[in-house]
Amino acid sequence: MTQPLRTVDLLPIPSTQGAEPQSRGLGGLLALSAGAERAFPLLGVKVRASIVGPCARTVIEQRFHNPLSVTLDVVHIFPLPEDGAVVEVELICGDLVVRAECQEREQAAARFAEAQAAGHRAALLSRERDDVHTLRVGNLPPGEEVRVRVVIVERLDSVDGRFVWRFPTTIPPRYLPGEAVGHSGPGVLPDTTAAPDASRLQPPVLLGNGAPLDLEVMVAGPLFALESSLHAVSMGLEGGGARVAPSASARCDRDFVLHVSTADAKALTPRAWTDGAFTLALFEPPGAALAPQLPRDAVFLIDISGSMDGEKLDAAKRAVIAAVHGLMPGDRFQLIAFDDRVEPQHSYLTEVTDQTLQKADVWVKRLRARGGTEMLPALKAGFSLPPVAGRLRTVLFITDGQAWNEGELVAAVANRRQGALLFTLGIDTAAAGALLKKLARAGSGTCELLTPQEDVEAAVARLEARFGSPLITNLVAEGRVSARTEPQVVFAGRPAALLVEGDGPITLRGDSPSGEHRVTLTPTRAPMPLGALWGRERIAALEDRLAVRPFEEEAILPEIRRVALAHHLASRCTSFVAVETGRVVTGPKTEIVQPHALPLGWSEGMAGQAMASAPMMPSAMPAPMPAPGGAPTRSRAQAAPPPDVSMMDCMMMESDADDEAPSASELRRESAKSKKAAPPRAAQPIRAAAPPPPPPAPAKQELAEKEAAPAPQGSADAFLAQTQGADGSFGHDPRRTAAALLVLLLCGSTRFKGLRRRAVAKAAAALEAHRALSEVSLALDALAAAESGAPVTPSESWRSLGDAGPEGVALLGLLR
Amino acid sequence: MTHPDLHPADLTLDALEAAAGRLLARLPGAPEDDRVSAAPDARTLRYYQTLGLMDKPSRYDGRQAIYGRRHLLQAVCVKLLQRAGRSLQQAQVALAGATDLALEAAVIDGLGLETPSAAQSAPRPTDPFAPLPEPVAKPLVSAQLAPGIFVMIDPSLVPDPAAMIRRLTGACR
Repeated sequence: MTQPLRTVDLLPIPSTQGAEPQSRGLGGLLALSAGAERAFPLLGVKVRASIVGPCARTVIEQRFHNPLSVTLDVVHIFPLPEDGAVVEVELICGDLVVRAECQEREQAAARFAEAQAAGHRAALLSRERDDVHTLRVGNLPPGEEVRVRVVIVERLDSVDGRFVWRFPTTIPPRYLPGEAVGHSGPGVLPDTTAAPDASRLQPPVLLGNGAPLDLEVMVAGPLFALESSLHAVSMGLEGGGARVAPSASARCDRDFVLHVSTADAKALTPRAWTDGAFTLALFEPPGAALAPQLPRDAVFLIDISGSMDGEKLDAAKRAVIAAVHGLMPGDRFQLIAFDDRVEPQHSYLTEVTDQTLQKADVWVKRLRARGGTEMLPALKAGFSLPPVAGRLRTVLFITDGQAWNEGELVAAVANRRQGALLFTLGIDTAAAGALLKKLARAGSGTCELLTPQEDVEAAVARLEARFGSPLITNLVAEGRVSARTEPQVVFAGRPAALLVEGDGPITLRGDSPSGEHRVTLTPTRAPMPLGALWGRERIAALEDRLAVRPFEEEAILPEIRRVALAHHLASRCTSFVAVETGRVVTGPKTEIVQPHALPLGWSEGMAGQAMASAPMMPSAMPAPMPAPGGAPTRSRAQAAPPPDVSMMDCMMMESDADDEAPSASELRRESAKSKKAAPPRAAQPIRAAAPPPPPPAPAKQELAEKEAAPAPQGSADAFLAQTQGADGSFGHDPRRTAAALLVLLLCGSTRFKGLRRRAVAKAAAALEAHRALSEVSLALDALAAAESGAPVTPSESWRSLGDAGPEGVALLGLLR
Repeated sequence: MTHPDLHPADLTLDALEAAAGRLLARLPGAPEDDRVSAAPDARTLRYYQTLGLMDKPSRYDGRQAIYGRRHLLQAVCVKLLQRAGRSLQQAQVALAGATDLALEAAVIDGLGLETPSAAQSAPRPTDPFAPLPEPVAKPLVSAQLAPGIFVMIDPSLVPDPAAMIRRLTGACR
């Protein structure tokens, strides 16, 4: 006996040739999702950068393919270095290379739309924000590939004698405040009242690995040290410089950060370079003494939004604690934590005492990451207390900077700061440098970008040197047309960079507390793209002005367009468009917006939180969607292992004839000396209090000569900076304080140089009243000797301080 | 001919949630507490958007996002893939660039929607962007002739499937 079992629906086999395989019902989709890894259109990114002094030229090649059986339009919203300017774009179809033209934005878009409609392959590159660009590739035929080559130039920031090159590879999900008003762009977030361009900025989040990254940097020599904080790198000597690349296969999931110390770091500034038509001058007053400081009212704004969860918040806490402990007697401070609420520790400024420092430590350590990143109320709160005459107000903004409402934030800082200085400290593996640099410029301060893996205490100690009044104000290049029309300020360790028209000797003039500063520099010839950089800097200055004075739009926008077209740069008014007319692609079409992987250390929960608390969605996304089949929804507990951290210090033996570089042997001696001065391992008992150093990752070494870097993490002097009392003493004991001062001296700091100059200054001030004690006067004399330039030479009598508490133990450890 | 339930009018996010829920309710045995099988709520739909699993809204009506047919198909497809044991990551790959046609075919297939014949079908809302009607599914009759032996018969081509099955079963003995 038989019976019909059931009725089933089956799709007929498509009779039309070339029909999509996906249109075979659910089975088609299941096959696609289960089969061999079908990639998204972006197959890989190849980056070739060349760094010459303070300039970098980077060629970025994005390779796209069409995995579908229909014609594809690709939208790729991608990051570029915020200080970079796109100067060249090429569309490469097989052997055909089509060079893109720089046109007015609307004109370029119209040309692209026309080509798209006509079935021509085409590419359009538009700049949306300093760090966000959109590349559209039109009419990619099924199964085929095109490449788009983008060339950018940028001027590198000089931070404490090192040039920093930071290459972003992914756009993390950033928080979007405001109410949704529309959705004009291809991104996944709507336009809102707070960020009217937001729909053009946020690519979808890619679940799974980012596209492969093939990156290589050539750094022109002579070099002293190279350091990469987020990748293990390998290096090779080449033509007087070094070739640097990630030593393991890299993916687009974090910034690539390279710190470059040139062998002539001491002769770094003042310096000038020219390409014949434009001149770049770097200026920091040589041997600048500790600027006389007004008593400070320091406000600390700490981002505790969901995206800070994990190691970022841990690093932020360490930074706050280090910065608060760096305050001088007589300073006052206020701590404010924020997410979508603003929570100050106190609504007023607190005197620095041992008790308030201790309470601050406890309060900071209790902070937990929570909601959305509402920066506007936080910044308003930071500037809410009225300024006090005779005191310097500083605001330190510690955040990952992952929010989209840049315009209103910059305007708020500029309009509300009332003379206060805003310093920004960004902590992330994919830093939001564009926003944080803009905020710092609007706040007349500096921006520091850190990775959570870096030694935060050391970074804050460096920052302390400039976390106050600038060394020089009103710095101008006399009689020259400067890219930035407003005068510059110079902070310790952060030289001003002036880009001016013309070549020949350049005279810089500025005001310092000790009077007028004037210096004339003769630029050296260098193959640097200074014209494009001048144009970019001029546009950046105009953009900064526009953010604060939106009502001047009618005057500013045409000027941006004029400069961009004159220098062939992508800007908010100009785009690059390339059309390949040799072929017509027909048939059905679809579009894919290329998704981007989450940055290293981010979890999907954080992504949900950042974006799902966007408009129309008041509650945060609680957790990643559970997925069946053991799908990798990465929780924090099983998050990726800590990244490879490599501190690759190297010595380059090549000596450039043009540069007065110290000879190789001199360098080696210098390095050996600094090694000797570094605290030996004997200081272990004290180091226990310091945070554990990140796991070292042995980097592949191709270098002929390689000096192991003395690890800066958790050194004895870092410990001292944290235990120093509010009055500058250690345990209110002159002998312990004297021992601590000697340790700081041995670690290379005086009141005028070194990481811990502030701690030295505080200790020295506390000791002045106890000069009668012989051990105290011994320490103060040693300080005076060190500051007069003599090398620190320990004497046998220092050992008598060995019984002076933990500081004495540390001193003995160093003397051994 | 496509299914009328797949041609909604303009949907707010809440209406989209409800429409997807109605479609997914056709699937047997979706336990309420199973988040994979449950119909997506508004929050989940927003999450789909951030992953690119669902397109941006069709338009805005004032400050209200308006969704349409493609969004409904995308939301249901994600759930169908999840119920078939696929992760969101796999769904992201499979649905990238999927055309309306492919989505609709998958939904009709996955939900086992009967396609009404032309005579029965109610006039559906006109959708200028809808693809041309295409024959999508045919009901077939399947039967087991003997343990391990199955046949499928297209009743539009075989006048009396039951008689045919009887004959075939006899031949199998």
